[in-house]
Amino acid sequence: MKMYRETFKRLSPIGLALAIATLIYTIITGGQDCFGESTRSYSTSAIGMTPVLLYYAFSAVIFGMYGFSFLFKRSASDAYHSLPVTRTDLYLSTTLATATWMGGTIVLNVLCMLGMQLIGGCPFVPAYVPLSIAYFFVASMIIYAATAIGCALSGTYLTALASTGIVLFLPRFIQFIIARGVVDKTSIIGWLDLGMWLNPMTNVATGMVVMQSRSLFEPFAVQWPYILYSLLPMAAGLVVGWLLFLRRPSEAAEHGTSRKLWPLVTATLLAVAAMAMITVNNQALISVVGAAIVAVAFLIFVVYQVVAARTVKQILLSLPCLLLAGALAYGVSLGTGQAVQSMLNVTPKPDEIASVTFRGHDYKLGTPEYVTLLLNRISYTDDEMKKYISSSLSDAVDRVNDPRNAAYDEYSQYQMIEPITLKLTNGQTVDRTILFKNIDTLNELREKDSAYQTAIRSFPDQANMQYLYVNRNFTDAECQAIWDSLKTEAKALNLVTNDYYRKQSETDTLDPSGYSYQRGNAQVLISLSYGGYVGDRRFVDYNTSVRMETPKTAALLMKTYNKYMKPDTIARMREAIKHISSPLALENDSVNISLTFFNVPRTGGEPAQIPINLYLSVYNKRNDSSSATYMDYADRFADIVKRGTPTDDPNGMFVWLSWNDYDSSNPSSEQEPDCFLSFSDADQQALISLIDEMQTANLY
Amino acid sequence: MIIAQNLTKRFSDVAALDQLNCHIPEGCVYGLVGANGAGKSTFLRLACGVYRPDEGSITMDGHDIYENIQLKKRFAFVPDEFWMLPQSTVRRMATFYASSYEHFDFKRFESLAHELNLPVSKPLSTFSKGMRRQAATILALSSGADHYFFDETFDGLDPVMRNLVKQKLYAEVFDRGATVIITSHSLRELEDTCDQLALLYKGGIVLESDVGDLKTSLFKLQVAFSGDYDASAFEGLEVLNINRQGSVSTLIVRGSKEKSHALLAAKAPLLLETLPLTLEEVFIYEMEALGYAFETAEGGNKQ
Repeated sequence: MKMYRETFKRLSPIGLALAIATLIYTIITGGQDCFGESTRSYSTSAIGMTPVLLYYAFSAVIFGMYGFSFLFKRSASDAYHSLPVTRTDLYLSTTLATATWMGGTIVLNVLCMLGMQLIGGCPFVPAYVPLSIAYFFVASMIIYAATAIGCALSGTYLTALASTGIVLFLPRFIQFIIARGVVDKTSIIGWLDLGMWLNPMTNVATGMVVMQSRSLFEPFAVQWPYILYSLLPMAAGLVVGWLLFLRRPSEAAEHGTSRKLWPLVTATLLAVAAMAMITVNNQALISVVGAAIVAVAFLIFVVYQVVAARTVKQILLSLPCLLLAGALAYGVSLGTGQAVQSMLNVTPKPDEIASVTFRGHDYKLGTPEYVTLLLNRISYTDDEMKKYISSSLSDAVDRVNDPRNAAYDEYSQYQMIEPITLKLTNGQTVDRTILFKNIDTLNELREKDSAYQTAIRSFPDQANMQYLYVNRNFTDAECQAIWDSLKTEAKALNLVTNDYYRKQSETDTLDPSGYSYQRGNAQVLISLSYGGYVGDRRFVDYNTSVRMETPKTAALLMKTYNKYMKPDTIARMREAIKHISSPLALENDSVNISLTFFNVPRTGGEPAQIPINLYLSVYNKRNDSSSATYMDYADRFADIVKRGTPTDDPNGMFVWLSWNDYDSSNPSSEQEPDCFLSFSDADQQALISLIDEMQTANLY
Repeated sequence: MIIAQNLTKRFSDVAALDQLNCHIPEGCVYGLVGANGAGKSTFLRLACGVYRPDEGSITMDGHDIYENIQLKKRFAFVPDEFWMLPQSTVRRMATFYASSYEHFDFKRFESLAHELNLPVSKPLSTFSKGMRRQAATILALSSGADHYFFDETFDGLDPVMRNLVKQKLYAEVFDRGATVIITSHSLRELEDTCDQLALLYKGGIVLESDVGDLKTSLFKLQVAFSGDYDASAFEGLEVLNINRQGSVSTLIVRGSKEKSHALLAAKAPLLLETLPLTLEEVFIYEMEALGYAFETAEGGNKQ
């Protein structure tokens, strides 16, 4: 205990400096988020709870190096090793003191961020507080453990640092190469389908580096399973560090390495990594690229040996190990190939599947929809589903084995990729990402499950909502009123508001002219976006739409839009159109007019939603011959639209007008508020004629 | 008693200590003399448990010293280069040592610092080499240990301070029965300090003896003959060195003192006298016999 206190005190200059520096950084960056003009409307991720990610990567190394600095100077090493303190006590006191400083700093930073979020009124996820503390602490301790091993193996700062990097990254890098080989060779197994032992994110320390290189991983980095898994490498690293520390000769101080074999083993593993990089991707070693990689491996091997061994004799004696490295790399390649083949061989028959879970079409986005969070808890066990999954998986495997497989040519326009988890009757769990030929078929099978039916019609509780967006002009109360109305109406009518789970073949219908329309109740006025969290999982939804099927909500939406309509908006739109034709207009001046017509009578079905976009610019006028045609249509539409009256009735034909212009002489011009307008019967006919005319001319 | 048996320590391919044997009795001042690279510091580090022996053993009271905390509580090591915590003072170092020496005596620490006039609150980085050695000595003497290991500690002290420190060490030996082990390449330094002395050469002890009763086969004779004489006059003797001034020759001889005396007496010398050998002379001639030539007694050696 005394030695722990003493070590804690000894580390205090570093600990205090890092704690203060990180706190300042957290306050500045966190403050910008929490108290800035654009105060965050949606909670930060778990990683964002401590903006000082780099602190954890480097502080553990700094603490480790500083804590064990007595190993690198003979006088200090003598002083420490002459003390009546066991090596175990020395190691434990350094480790515990480091853990105290790092843990304290992490807690302090997270609490500081939390405090600022509370004071600033920013939304946050309470579960992220323990999660981010645990994540960063375990990550830091893994890095510290690698540093402890590096220090125990070395006698100088430089070699200790190199050893730390090698201990921390080399095994994971070789693992990463194997994982890359698997992912490259099997399109149905993505990075997120890999098992715990191959997943590059399960080790939270090296995961921090991986997610910097592949943003796909970032949303998945901080989660309890990985943290718990990482306790293993953390504990293993600390124990190995301790054992090496116990056996470390004191006289290693000021010498490169404490173990003669270490440089040789390291150089060999580096060469293995270099050569494995190519062999796992099926590149022949005799190819030009292969030869280059072997040359690089040779260079790495020799350079490391020169630095560590320092004698020509030892380098020459160790050269046969390069052959061993080559053989190992080839073994890694063969092993990867075998692993891939055994993964592809997993094509269970329906009766071999115990259950199937869908992780969600948006699973790989990291922040899925609310519905996904509910759906991925459902296990499907009915025979029809098992049969469909078995068949889809077999097709997918066939496709991997033969990319020219014609089976996929039959796939419909509604095919969809979804990640699934299969639990087999033999207890095995299999994650795959496969292409389903028709999402409607899949959804029909899922609809047989009542839990699925409930989930796709669910809305998050108000307490879990952090963010809701309808339109930038609307107040929070107005957005909330629309949201509440949609929820009430959808529940009363038992509707599915999330587009992904609606029948895709009914969402868009083709008319005889070949145009695809949304018709009748499927016409979409707007898609809402909202976000929040359930437990420690955040959700964001952009797929929930207000359609004609909820007329009360549609009316409320139209009414709210029109509340912000400017009385002279049409007149100014016409002025803007006229301005583009004017010789005084500048090169960059433009007008963008979006007219979305609803309930337009169409042949072959219900009334349809027809969007028409007219982009008029001086540049196009001078360079595009068709520009005059669009200009003409804009004038003609504007001539009719000017007679429109604001409406909140979604039953008749109406238009949603949205326009804005860019005036080079006044670039700060604001976005014009949108509005909904209805027309007299005569004007409706005139508009329909214009729409038909444009359609005939293939102009929209 | 600290006993080394066939003690061997290698660094790479070089044996710093090779099959070394020695006995260090309790309650004495034990000096270890040797040239640079003889293995003095290595021996000291093995003796106080810093290094682990490659072969052989070094024990105290029958127990291995390495990683033996009970024994190490009784040891205080003052290395040739004093290590200090960054930006620390002597007082800070005292708290550092107190964290591992459970009987560290702060009163004694303050008292010794006062006696040696050492500023305990000043940064150690401002101290001279001698002051740092004083600080290291004070800390060791306050640790509550009863075995002190000094690695060429006195070499950096001025004569006044050297005597003062020696007095403190004598007091430890006389009052508490402490054991002091000192290494030095300066014989004169140890001659008047140690009870026991060992000569270390190429990783082995070539001489271990009481200082007051040197167990050496060397002796010094002063002899003069009437008339001229040359080296043949000393035939039958193993003469290591002859120094002639006029008719008087001073010889360093190895062998039986009585037989040599009788051999010369038979040649009717004008003067025949056995003179005491200084420790330095023993050291020089023993080492010369092993092929180590000195230019001077202290430093400046050549091998």
